[in-house]
Amino acid sequence: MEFILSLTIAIELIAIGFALATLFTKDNLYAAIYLAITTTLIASLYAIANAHFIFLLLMLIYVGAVIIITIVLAATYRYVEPRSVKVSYSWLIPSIIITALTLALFTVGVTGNVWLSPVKEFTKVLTDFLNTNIFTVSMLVLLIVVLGIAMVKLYRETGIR
Amino acid sequence: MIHAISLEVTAITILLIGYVTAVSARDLIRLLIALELMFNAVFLSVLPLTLISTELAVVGLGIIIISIFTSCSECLILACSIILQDRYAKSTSIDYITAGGERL
Repeated sequence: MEFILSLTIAIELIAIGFALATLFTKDNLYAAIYLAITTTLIASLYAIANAHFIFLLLMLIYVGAVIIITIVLAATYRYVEPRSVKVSYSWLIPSIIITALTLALFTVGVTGNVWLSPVKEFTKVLTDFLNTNIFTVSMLVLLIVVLGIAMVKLYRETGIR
Repeated sequence: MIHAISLEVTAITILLIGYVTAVSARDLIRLLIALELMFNAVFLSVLPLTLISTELAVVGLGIIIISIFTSCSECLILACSIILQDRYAKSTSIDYITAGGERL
C-alpha cells in the first residue's frame, strides 16, 4: 500500500513537471510531445486505480488520436517562440490566490483527509476485455507493428529524418 | 491506498498551468496544447470517483467518455481554424487576428 502511495505521488510530480515543461518550452513540437507524456502519466494513474477500461480509453482514443493529431499539427506548422514565455504578474497573482482558495476549500470542506483504495470489482474489467476482445487487441498490435515497419522503410528509402 | 487530496491538488495545479499556457500563447497550436492540458486536469479530477464505489466508477466512465468526445470536437474545430488561419495569413500566430466574430 505504501508502494502504491509513493508511486502515485511520484507520477503526479512527474506529470506536473512535464506540464511545466509544456509551458516553458519554446518549440510547439516539444510542447506537444511533453503534453503526450503528461497525458500518458495521468492515464497510468487510472491503471494504478484498477480502472483499466478508462486507461485503455484514454490511451487508445485520447493519446492515440487527439494528442497525435496535435503533434502532427505542431510538426506541420512548426513554430518556435522567438522569445521565452513572459507572463504578466497581473494575471499570475489572481491565479495563485484562486488556486490557494480552491485548494483550501478542497482540503477543509470537500475531500478532507480521505484515503481511497482501488475498487475490487473494477480489476476484472481488463481481464474480461482481453478475453472477449483478444482478436481486436491482436489486430491493434499488428497494425502498430506494420505502421512501424512502413515508417522505418520510408525513412530508409527517402532518407528523411 | 491513494490520498484523494493529492489527486485534486495535482489536477488543480495542471489546470493552473493550462490557464497560464493559454494566456501566454502566441499562436493557435500552443492554444490547442493548453486546452488539451486543461482536459488532462478534468480527467485527473474524475479519478477519485472510480476509487469510491463501482456505481461511481461507471459514472466516472461516462464523464470520461463525454470529455473525450468534447476534446475530440474541440481538437477538430481548432485544427480547422489553424488550417484556415494559415491559408489566410500564412502564419498561425495570433498577432494576425485583429478582431473576433464574423464580418457583416
